[in-house]
Amino acid sequence: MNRRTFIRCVGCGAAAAAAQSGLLPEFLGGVQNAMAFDYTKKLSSVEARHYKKKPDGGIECGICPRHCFVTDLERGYCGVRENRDDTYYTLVYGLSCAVNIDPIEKKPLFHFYPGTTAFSIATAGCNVNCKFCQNWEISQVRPEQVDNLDLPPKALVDVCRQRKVPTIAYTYSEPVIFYEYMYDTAELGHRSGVKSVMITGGYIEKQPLAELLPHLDAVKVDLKAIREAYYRDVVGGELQPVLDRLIQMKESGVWLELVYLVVPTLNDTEQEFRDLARWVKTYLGADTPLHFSRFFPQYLLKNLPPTPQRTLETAHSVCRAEGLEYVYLGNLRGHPSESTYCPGCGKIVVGRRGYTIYEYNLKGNLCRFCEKHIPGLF
Amino acid sequence: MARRALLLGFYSIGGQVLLLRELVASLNGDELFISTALFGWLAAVAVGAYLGGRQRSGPHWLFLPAAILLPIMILATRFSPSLTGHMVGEAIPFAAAALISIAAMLPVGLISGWLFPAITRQHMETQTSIVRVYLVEGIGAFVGGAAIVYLVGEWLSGLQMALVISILMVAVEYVPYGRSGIHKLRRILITLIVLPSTIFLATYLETYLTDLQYRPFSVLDSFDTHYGRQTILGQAGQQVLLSDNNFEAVSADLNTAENLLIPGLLYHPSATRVLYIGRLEYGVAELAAKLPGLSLVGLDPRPGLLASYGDTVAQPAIEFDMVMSDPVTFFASPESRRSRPSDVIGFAVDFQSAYRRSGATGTGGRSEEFDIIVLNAGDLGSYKASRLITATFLENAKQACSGVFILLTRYDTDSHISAEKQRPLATIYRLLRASFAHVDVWPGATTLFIASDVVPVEMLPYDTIITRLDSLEYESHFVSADYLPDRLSSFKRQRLLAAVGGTAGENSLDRPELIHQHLLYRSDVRSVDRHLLSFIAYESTWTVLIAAVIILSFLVVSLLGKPRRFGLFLFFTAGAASLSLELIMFYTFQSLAGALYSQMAMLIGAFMLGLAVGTFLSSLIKGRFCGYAALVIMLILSVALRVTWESWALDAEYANRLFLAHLIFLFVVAAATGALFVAATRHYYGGETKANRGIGYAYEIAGSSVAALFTTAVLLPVIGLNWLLTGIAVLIALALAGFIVRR
Ligand code: SF4
Repeated sequence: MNRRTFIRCVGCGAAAAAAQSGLLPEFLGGVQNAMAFDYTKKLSSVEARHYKKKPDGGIECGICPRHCFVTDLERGYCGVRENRDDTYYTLVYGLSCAVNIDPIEKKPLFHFYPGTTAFSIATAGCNVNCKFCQNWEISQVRPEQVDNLDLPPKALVDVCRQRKVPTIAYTYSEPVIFYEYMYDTAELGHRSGVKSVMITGGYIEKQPLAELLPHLDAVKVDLKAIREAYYRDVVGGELQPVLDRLIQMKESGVWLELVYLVVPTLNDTEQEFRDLARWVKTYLGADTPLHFSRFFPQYLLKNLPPTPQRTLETAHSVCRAEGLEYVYLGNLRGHPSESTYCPGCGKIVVGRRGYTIYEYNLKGNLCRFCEKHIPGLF
Repeated sequence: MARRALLLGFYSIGGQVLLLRELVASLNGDELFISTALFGWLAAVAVGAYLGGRQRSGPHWLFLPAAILLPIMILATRFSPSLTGHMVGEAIPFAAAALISIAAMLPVGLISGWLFPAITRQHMETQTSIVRVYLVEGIGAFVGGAAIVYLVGEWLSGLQMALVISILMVAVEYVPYGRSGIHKLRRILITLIVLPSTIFLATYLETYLTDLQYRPFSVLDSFDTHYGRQTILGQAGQQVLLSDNNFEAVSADLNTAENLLIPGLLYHPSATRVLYIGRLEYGVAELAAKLPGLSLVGLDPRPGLLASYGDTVAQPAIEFDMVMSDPVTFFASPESRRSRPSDVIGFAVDFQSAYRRSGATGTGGRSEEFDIIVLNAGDLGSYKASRLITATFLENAKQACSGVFILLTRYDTDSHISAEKQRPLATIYRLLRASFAHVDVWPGATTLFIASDVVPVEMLPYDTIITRLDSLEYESHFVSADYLPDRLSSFKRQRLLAAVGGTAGENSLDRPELIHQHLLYRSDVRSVDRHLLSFIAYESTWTVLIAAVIILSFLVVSLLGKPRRFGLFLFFTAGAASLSLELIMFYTFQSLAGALYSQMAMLIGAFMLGLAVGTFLSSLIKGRFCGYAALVIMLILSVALRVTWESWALDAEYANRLFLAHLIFLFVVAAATGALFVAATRHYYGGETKANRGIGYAYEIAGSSVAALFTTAVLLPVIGLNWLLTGIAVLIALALAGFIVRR
């Protein structure tokens, strides 16, 4: 049996299998139907949540730690929330500017129904300005600068149900800034049997997050560094609120995975990897999956080279040595660290190559070989 | 006077060329930014000349600050990204780069302009002093330009050359002068000791500073070539090639290599001869070595690079051939593809180093066709990259391609396609469709275009792609069944096909729009850039109007008062028309015949020589004849160019004829400019020996700076070559009419 036949017969790599079985075209037909919902240049005017009217006029947004103070007809930092006569509106409710059906491994979420797909959406805008942003063309612009698809929560959930896409992923840009759209879709999705995952930088306030978490099935947080200075200089945000929210997420019981993008010379020292591993182990637990991602020249850092493989491998070995059980290397294709190994017996429980699952040795959450419990949703 | 004017010519060409090189190398600048730098230089010279003309002091005191400023500004430019708060690897937005470039050019430009009237004034009793300074300065610039072209990149770095100029200035101006043999010997001895030791010390200084500049990377090598600065960085066993501070390649990048080589083989499985336009040593050669039966030839004009490529991953040695030529030159004709054996260099890369091997097997001596031609388009924000995506280039490349043409762009089309990105993608697609019968596209983190006349690439079923992938004798990691179902999902392909089928622009010799489209796409990174660049690209009426208003205001100012004031407009026209025509000729030559530095150096030399010859000859002829002759010649040349450039494009396959035509054209334009300068001087200064000698020069340089800012970077992509040449002809006609009327 060659590799290809193996993939066909055994693997449950969704994209590969779906494409070959004709399932993917059907899913995509769904997206195209969704496309039929229309592109619109009109922005939404749905009242935003979590804001305070100030006694002397103006509004304070409470969604993220920026707490933007916004006067009449002004917008917050993220550019998608506007004060109109002291009522705060979200301008991107139901307006997706990027729509795809992605393998869940691409998010990456490795302990969340491996081999399935996620209907991925994003709106314009972001509450930080990472110099390495991969999606800067939508995250660093205002909603009127992109083509928006009119895709309100119900339509979105309906498409997923019709086309049997099990999960909606709020991703690409920063879903925190389209909080209301995400919240309503996730809530509706749950009522209709469609799961929701948030792919976020975690720069969100405590209360909005607390209200949102019950409607989410998993969260992947991009922890961009373990140094405050990096957040200040490269991200344009703060580290501490992100760390606090991570703890809050873990305590809520939502499935959580972390991604750390290793940017050459900026956050790639052994000491940083060690500090990261220690913090994760102490506050989130050794069984929290941690993905190290390879940087590619992007956006403002378009002249910085890709991360050397050796650096990623160092990150991997440092974190494993510190006791983290599930450490993955991403954007480094064909590497053994893409697979999930059982911490009990050391055997592969989920074998991955790219977005393909070529080996699956789990019975529910238990390792088929030693019955060790593997955390996650399988 | 002659000595000082000569020095000034040397200094000003040095300042201009070395600072411009340094700016390009340090700010990873796009083409628009180069024009702002040139504009900054010329504007500073114009202001300096004007201010210098109002002062009464001599030039002696100016040489020392001039000598000190040049190397200091080179270093300041080198460190300008970090001085302005940018980190290593961070792209400098257009607006910031433009401001830095103007600021960097200002001090040296100002002092260079100031020196001109200061030197001229020394000989105020002579009515023709300005002409003589102009003439001797032109000769100095010619000699200096030639020295820079041949020394920098081959023997000296830009900083070392700047130090050489500074030392020469100090030695000539300040070391006591005497006619005795002892004095002369002393001067020669001092120069002989100081020069080499400074160059030697500068080598260490530069090494130290480059380390500082790229810290915490380790700098494995950094050197100037005729085509720019190459820096090779090392980190964690990886080598990174930076070209002019732009990330170009990393070793051994199998991801990019697979994207470049594998798709062609999937569409044309029997292919054996592959030509890759770019550097082979960063993964492509290594991959090709794993693909049995594949013979690979690289095409790139930078020979110096391989020597510094060491500590690589390939072992045992991989052998490959590289043709050291500009891609435009190479494809211009079957004749030019029949490269001289000396152009084809065989290389081997092993674990320690890359070295020349004897017996290159590539294209030497015979005209070749290739089964697959691969073009890695890189960043399309410059003419250097975007001229490889024109109908002319693609048509020429097609003649050498018997199978599939692959074009890799850095546009990410995996998850969404913005309107700004759609336009360049559609333009590329349209151009390929015009040249090839079949074109297909692959979305992804990099977008691939696959074109062919013989293989119906767009009809290849997905299953066949996968089957062919399996039958390769190499297990592909990145272009593989593990990723292709996602990458080539029908939704993503349809989205990309919809985008590339949408509104497209042009990218012809007449209208090279791609550069603007790309810069507009990149401009989203900063709102200032966005506003500025959308204005330039989309508000063509306003752009043309602004250029016209600037020119007309110079005309109006020169029409006020006495008829002699019209001389100012003649100065302005001399600067504006000559630089515009010079830039256009460089543009057409590079687009049609490539940018080989030796040819470019000769073209620049012809222009400078023409300037000196024209000035000299016309200074011998009395009266107004020279003025009429110069203006009529310039008018005829611009009209002739307007009428004939399209047939020049057809002439591209006769490279020698094309080169000769450009050489003669540039020489004559420059000679006419020199003559016009003489005529303008006579018209404006007449017999007034006490006149401000700087103002005429300032007007000429102001004309040049307007031309630098508008010609190729702004107006060419917006209104096209035909209208641009028409505009130049109108400007010259206005000057001629005024010259006749305002006697
Ligand atoms: S969500 Fe937007 S408006 Fe609200 S605080 Fe954050 S950045 Fe400001």
